[in-house]
Amino acid sequence: MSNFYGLELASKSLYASQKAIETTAHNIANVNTEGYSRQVVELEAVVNYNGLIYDSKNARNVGSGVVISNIEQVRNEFYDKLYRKEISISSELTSKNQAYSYIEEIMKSSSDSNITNDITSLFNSMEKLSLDSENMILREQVRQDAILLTDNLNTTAENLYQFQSQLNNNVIALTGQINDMANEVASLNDMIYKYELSGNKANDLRDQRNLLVDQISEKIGVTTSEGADGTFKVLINGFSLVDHKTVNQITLKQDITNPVTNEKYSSLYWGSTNTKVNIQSGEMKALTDMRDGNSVDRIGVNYIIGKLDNLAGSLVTEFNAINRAGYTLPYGSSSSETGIDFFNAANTHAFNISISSELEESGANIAASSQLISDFSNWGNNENLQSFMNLRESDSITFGSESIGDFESYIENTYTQISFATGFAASRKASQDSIVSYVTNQKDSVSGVNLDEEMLNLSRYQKSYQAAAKLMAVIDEMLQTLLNSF
Amino acid sequence: MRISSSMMTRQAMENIEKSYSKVANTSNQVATGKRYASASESPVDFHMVNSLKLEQGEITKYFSNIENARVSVSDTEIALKDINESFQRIKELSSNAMNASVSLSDREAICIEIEQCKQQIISNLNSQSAGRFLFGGFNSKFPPIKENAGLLEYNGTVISTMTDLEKDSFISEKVVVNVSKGIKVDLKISALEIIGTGDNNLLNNIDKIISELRNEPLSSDELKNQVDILDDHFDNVLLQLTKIGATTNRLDAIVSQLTQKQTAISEKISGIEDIDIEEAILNYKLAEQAYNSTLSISGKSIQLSLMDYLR
Repeated sequence: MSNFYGLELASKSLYASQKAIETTAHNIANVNTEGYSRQVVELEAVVNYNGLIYDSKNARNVGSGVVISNIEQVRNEFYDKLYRKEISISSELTSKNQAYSYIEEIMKSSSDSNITNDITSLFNSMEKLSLDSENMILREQVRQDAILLTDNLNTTAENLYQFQSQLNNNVIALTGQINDMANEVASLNDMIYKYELSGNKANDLRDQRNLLVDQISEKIGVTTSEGADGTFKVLINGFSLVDHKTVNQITLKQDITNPVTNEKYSSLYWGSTNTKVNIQSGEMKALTDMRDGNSVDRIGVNYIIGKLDNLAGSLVTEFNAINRAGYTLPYGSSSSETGIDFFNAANTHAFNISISSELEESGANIAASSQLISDFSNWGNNENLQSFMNLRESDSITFGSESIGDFESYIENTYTQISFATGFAASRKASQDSIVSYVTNQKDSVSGVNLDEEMLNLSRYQKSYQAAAKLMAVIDEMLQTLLNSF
Repeated sequence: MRISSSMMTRQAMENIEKSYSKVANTSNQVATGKRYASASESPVDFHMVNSLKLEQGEITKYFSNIENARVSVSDTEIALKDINESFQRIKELSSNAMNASVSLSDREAICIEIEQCKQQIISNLNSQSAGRFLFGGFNSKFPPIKENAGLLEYNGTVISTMTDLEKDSFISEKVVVNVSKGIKVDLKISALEIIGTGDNNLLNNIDKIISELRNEPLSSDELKNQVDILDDHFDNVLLQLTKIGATTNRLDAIVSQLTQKQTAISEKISGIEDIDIEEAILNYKLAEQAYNSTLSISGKSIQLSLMDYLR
């Protein structure tokens, strides 16, 4: 056994302590880095040349010092996967909640200037008119209220359509982002794979990849799997978005056409197989659901516009039927006429509903009378206005297969449905957030850096470094003593 | 459980956010006096408030209808009372005239006064409310009673030769007003309901009295006959007055009913959406206290570090 063996031992120890301090420094430096997992050095006693740690019998071989076996990342894959699942639901609910709140705002369901009040005002003005049906000022009031109602319906529908195409733009932008991130994951896969072929651990690259996958799952729900050979897959509902080094790009196809505006909206397709991407959760799910949703349990823009269209359509049908049955008031050179429309019969959707050209011309074209107005007769006839009043009191109005009930309740019920959806998304989001918070805490509990712990480690490794240095000095002295004795 | 530094700060942040949003919520409640800021906070309550508000709006509408109806009804009542007075006068005058001692020239003076009373009745039948004629049914634009070539016309049809069919159709012209859910009141009394039709209509009746009075010698039987007919008309006017009075009473009753209902609805709405201000302030104080404690605790706990004790 060499005299210099002790020096070698001390240098190993110095090296290990130094590395440990550096690792501690790395941990401290990254205490605030998103996605960072703390790293620990794993020390191992060195096995000596003959395979024994020490030979106590002959006291010939003592231990051979220390070596760093690995710098290991501390993480729990179970929590990583759980986190991805929960965060993608949470981000879906967040976007949904935001979208519903925005729709609530568009509908102004909680303010005083909304469609319900416009309908009420229109009927109230008609009621006033029925007491004095030849009064042009009261007729003008009815006309103005009808215009206000149509304008409000137009604006609301217009805003909803704008919101819909904004959602579509977000879908397109989000798809681009997902593809970009998938590309990044693929290139990281390659780097990690190559780096780890040599038996090393690509800790920080793995952190980067994990963070990236977390971000993808916020946008669209994904699962991951890592093969024994070190290949890594990112899957959307079982179909791989990233398969080790290759990326299955998501392409967009304009395959949804709005039946009313003819605007085209895009769906997500797999570039390789041309099949539809099955979106399970994430922001993308919220965006597409809000954009295309058209049923009670999937309330989206289309559903609400559908309700408004039903309202507009039934307003046009019912008001025109009554107005056509009555007689208008003579004005200017026009005499009393029957068969005049109240709303423009050609425009039966919320976005284009408008009053008829005749009503546009004069409030005299509100057919208040049930009989021809001429000479002495029927100037004060309000029997046809009574039909309007009966329409208001009726609660069995239908439009096509849709049961409207009465106009005001119909739109009120729609408001209520939206606020239920908003409230539901908000409360689900709240409980989902607490789940995410729990999982994040669990994840952090395992992987997060604790500065106090790092300070303790720092002191510990500093002490061992000092001791190793002292050892070096002692052996040096020993050698001096030996050499100087000659 | 192992606690990492980022957990500590994140939790502190979450706690601060939670208690801060509670402060924001409760202070908003105190400021607005309302329990909810948006519909989605409690869709059921919101829906209830909205339907109650719709009902409230309907009641307000009925109030304004009733107000308008009252004007028309009270104008009708005034006109009918005037007609009634003219009647009394005609009756007095004609019974005076029946006395044999009244001379022809005196009777002529009486005739002139009766004629004036008749004109008064016609002008009352043509009276207006807010620029619309009251007794013309759907004809509100032109005076309903008009003299044309010596004959009196109602809405352009000669009264004395009017058929029953024409009469019924004129009388059925009712201006109906909704005064409460499902309750309608018709406002218009046709002049024909007051004066009747045919040869014995009120105005003809008066004309006949006048012409009898001008006869010399006076045939008291004939005159008595006409005065009897006048009495029938008088009863009819009283009947119409009673009807109008009943309508007024009915409107009053409906108003008091609606007022009660409105108060009840306002109370209900207030019960749902208004917050008890003492409770709101108390809640705010509690939230403020919680926020304060959270800040104090978080501020202290995140400062702690082993570093302070290492030398």
